[in-house]
Amino acid sequence: MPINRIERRYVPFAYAFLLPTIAVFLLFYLIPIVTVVLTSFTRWDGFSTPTFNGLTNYLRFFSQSSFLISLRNLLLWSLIAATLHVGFGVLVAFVLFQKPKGWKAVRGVYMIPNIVSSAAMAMIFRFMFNNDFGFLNSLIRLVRPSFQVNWFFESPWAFVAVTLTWLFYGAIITLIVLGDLMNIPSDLHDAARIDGATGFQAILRIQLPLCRYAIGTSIILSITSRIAMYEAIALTTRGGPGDDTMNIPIILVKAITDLNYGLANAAAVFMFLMGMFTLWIINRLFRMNNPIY
Amino acid sequence: MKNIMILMVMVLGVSFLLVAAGSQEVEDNGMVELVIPHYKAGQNVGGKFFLPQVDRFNALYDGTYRIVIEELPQDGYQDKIKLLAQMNKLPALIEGVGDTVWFEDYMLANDRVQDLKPWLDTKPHVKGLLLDDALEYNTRDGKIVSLPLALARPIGLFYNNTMINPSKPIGEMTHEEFLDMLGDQKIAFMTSENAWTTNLFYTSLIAAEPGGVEMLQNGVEEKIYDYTGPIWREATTNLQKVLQDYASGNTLGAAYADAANSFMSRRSAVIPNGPWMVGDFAPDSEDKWSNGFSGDQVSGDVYPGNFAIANVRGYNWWIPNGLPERELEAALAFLEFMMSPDELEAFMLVEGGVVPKLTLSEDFLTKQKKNPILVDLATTINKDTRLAPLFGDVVPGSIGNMEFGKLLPKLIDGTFTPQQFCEELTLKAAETRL
Amino acid sequence: MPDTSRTRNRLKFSGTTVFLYLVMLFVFIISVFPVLWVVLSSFKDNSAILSSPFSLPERFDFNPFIQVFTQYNFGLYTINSLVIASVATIISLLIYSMGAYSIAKFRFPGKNLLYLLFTLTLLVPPHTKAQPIFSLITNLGLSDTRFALVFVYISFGMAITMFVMRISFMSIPDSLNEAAFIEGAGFWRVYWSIDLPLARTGLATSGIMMFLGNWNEYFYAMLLTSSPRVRTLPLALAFFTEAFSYDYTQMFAALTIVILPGIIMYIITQEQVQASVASTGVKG
Repeated sequence: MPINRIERRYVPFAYAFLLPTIAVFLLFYLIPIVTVVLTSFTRWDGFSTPTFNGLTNYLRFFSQSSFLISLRNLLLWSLIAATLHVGFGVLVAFVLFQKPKGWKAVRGVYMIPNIVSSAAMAMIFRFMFNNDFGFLNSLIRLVRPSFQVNWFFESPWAFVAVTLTWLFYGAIITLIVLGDLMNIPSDLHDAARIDGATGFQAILRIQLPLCRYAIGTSIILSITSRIAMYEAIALTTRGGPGDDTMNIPIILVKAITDLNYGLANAAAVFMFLMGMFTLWIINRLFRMNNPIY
Repeated sequence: MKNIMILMVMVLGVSFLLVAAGSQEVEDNGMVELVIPHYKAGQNVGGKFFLPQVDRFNALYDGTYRIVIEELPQDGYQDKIKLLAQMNKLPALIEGVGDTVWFEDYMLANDRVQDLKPWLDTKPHVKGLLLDDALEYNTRDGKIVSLPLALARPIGLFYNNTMINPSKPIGEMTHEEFLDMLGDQKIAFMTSENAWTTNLFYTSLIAAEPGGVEMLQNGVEEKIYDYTGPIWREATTNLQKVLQDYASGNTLGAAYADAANSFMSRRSAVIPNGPWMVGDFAPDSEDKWSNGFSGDQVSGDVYPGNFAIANVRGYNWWIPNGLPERELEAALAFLEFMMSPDELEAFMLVEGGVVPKLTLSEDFLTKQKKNPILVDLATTINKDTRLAPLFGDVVPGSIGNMEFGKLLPKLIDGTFTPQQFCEELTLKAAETRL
Repeated sequence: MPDTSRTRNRLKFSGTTVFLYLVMLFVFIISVFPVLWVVLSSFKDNSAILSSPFSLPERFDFNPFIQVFTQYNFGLYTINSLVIASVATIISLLIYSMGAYSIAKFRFPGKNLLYLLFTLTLLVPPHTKAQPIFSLITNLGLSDTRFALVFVYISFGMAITMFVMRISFMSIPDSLNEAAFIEGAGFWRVYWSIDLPLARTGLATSGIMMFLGNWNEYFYAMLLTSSPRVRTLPLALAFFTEAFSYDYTQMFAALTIVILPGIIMYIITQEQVQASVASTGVKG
């Protein structure tokens, strides 16, 4: 798609349209981003003058005893987010698109966990998974009375428990995908029907590919949420037991507790890079720069 | 483009409306008004005493000074103070410092804290009450940088006297005797949040080792990073044993609420905690009790080995430099007011503690007798009681607040030997160094 | 809708139908139960919570809630939250959909860099933003105003809205724009009357996400406001949850108080929200 004459004429307008966004960016984000990147190369306690110390923070970040497990957790969680989490959200969207009886109620109800703040949600899960009186264990004990698992505080369950706090809560994904499904021109459905495509074939051959932007968007959103996941951990396991559920934001906040802002910001730069990588790779995989229709 | 302009103008208009709606006129009638952001307000437990105290101050200085408390959630207080400090907009009175490093390396190093010495020198009745240790700690280069404490609130433990029946005061026992006496009864421990109750008991185990108290005392000025010495190994070995045999059933993952609940439902017989908990044992807290628990079943004592946890070496109320003269006067008047015998006694009745250098009034003693636990706590601490700061206060912030509690489950289930636990903690501490 | 009848016809295999309803049942349970359990538990006493987790409360005592809601001016806080969150959401939708439109539909130097920077704002750690934002708001003299929060919340939606809106605009065929431009329609007109309505789904999605974020925001509300006049709901609730740290009944009650206003708001506006997402128009 070469730049045509019409488009060139409108480039100044395109810039004008970006001005408000750029203004917000300059006001709110430029200083923080520059601060993060620059001070990640310094020894800094957050208030006195930073002194340059080269790559020390990065070396220390990578050699943190909890770095490897954090990276492993990040990769596992990202993988689960991209497959099971997004997969479930998409599944629900396709189920609701069939419009079975009561689909509107389910669609409405599915948003509820998203309305509750993640801090409150983490608290709720701490209660739900409580060994003594939590809902989950009480349920399991109906079948196996001797069951004792302290979900958030025992290896290897803590990882599972933290994952369960978000795994099935994909209402936003369902929303995005359902929106795209409903936007599919009806003649495409008709064409599929004339071709003799049955239900599942139509889903695989037509609907799923046409939702590729929505699915790609969902994957990027859910992986970046995993990179930045803080409250779901800080208010439940705090990275424990031991280091089982550590992740990078927890390392970052811990560094701040110890007034080591240089190290914290090296962790932040690492999060930037992971985010950029996610964006790039999902854009490629889902050909998100190419038009759909 | 015309449309854009119209929209922009509209947005700006709305903005100005919002701004205008937010601004506020302040009237001036010669009275000094100090607006102090503080968390001891509203529903906060500390507000129960603090707000009426501010009211009493305002009544006393009616027409001259007035203090207005701006409500703030507790977990936001330090953040806000730090930001206000960076903007040079600190309020006239600030209580405590979140982290001493910030206060010392930033506020003190840049000479931004009001020296209280000249004022204290003119107020011998205030100065005479201050604890020597606290005064020494707060004296920096001849200046007094925050109001030293007059009141000490040593932290011991509470036990349910219908569940255990110690033959002698717990302070006179060793840890071994204490645990034998417990028998099948449990202690309310926690591993979640900052593992507060466990933190306290661990401190008492450290103090029980030879040289332990001294090590803790020296740890305030010079944080401890190495936990591999014999004191730590022994104390951790004992901690593991106590956690495995004497911990309440819900210890794993317990937050403070779980520990308190365990004690107040007779599921555990002992809870290590400070005197401020007595409020929960007063009759008006009945709704927190269950399973036959009642506040009058509770006795207070120090830890085995006649040890209690106290740290008077810390920063308390302080005033930023460069206040207008009248505001400084008002702030100092409030400090003086809080240090008056009446106010100190009133505080002790509500939140416990002792002011060793204050001669207590008859009235106070009569009132105190109505609360036997407060008497317990005041009398069990004698001149031989050894005091030392909390484990969490002598190690880097994230070790005491976070790593200790996070590693406890592994100590309990035996994944870590005490030796490994100490080594892991040492490794984590090394990583916190700048 | 013709769509409905057609897809219904396809549900002839009972196996498929059973599967659909199983998924819906599962979604219903995981969405409602946690919240319902918390609310019910807040009506039980400590021993009932500990011993019989499935039992229904013996009686419904609303007094603690009434106390909380009368002690503070919750009506005002709700209105504050609502106004601040909506105004910020609407302004950011306008600002960022314009930006996303440029990036999605036109080519110009610096486009990819700008897009990258805008989406990266999602990962800027909160602690590094606090100080600059605090000084910005204070220096503008906006401390303790509703506008301060509106201003700050506008900035929060940048990454998500840019991201979702760009994709939305990209899925609108370029042919539509070209036709309109050739007919001589102005830039703003094409954006406002052709593309924006077609990107309705994206607007709704990012609008909902931003609104929920603003509605639940606590940290900046705490930093930037102090008087009860401009207080928002999450901040007001923080004052309570501190007080309720002891027994389970009160902790559940505190949680209930925290989660209920949002859910009630949602139930009231549910229809409109869902209607705005479910675009009826056919694209392309």
